[in-house]
Amino acid sequence: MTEHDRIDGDNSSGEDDSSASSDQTDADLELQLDAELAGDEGLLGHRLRELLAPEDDLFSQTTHQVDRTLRARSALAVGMDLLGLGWLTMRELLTDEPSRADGEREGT
Amino acid sequence: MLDRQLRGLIEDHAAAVYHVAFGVLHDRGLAEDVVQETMIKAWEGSSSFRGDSSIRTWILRIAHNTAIDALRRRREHSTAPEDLPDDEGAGAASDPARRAAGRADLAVLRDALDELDELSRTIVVLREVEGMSYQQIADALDVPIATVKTRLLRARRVLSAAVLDQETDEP
Repeated sequence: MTEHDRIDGDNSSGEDDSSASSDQTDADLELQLDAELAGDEGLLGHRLRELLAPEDDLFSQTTHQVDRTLRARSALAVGMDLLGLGWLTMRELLTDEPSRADGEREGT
Repeated sequence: MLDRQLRGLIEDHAAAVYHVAFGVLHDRGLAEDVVQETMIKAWEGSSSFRGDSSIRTWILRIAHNTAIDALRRRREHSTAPEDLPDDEGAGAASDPARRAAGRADLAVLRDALDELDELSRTIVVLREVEGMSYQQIADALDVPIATVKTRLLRARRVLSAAVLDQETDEP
């Protein structure tokens, strides 16, 4: 396990970590880490932005697809509601059982 | 017509979500799918946003999780590596000449990015491309800040070596 792994808490190397260091040492290591990270990585950032750049139409394409998906879900929800309503209506018409409303009326 | 707020959400965050998704997946089509899925999840779950972090951090957390799920699904359907799409990477380079010139050196960076695990890839993208602070990255990915720093340092070493090798090879 490297010193950085120890700060990380990443003990994936499976080695025994019985030699726990003091808080002071950890602080020193973290300072060292910060110093190493403070270097200028402008070129790397520039290249990564080039590599990961989206197509120019990402916004319009996403907007279009999200709109389509939300409309489809909305239509499906309405369809399911209508189907449910239709089923209840059919059941009322086709069964001889008195509905709850009929029962309530008879009870009064 | 989409709600104005949803359009604003997409306009403000789609590119950042895409960077994270493409960084994890290395597949332009899948990354675009993740952008759409993330936006819908964010929109539908906006009532659960508690404001503990910035909305960008919250959306990028959704994006990372969605991208990881997409990666798992892809692995479950285990496409042979040679059958995977050979994504050209230089998406912004819609100019064919620039695209052709940039493809080779970006391919080296892409290969180097492939050597990293998904978490390290996302960390380096959030830091180097999105310019997020270590704390914001830790919040977005729900990992300790020390993990962010160590993974970033290792990732930078791997990627910088690739970039510098390419630079020195160029005439």
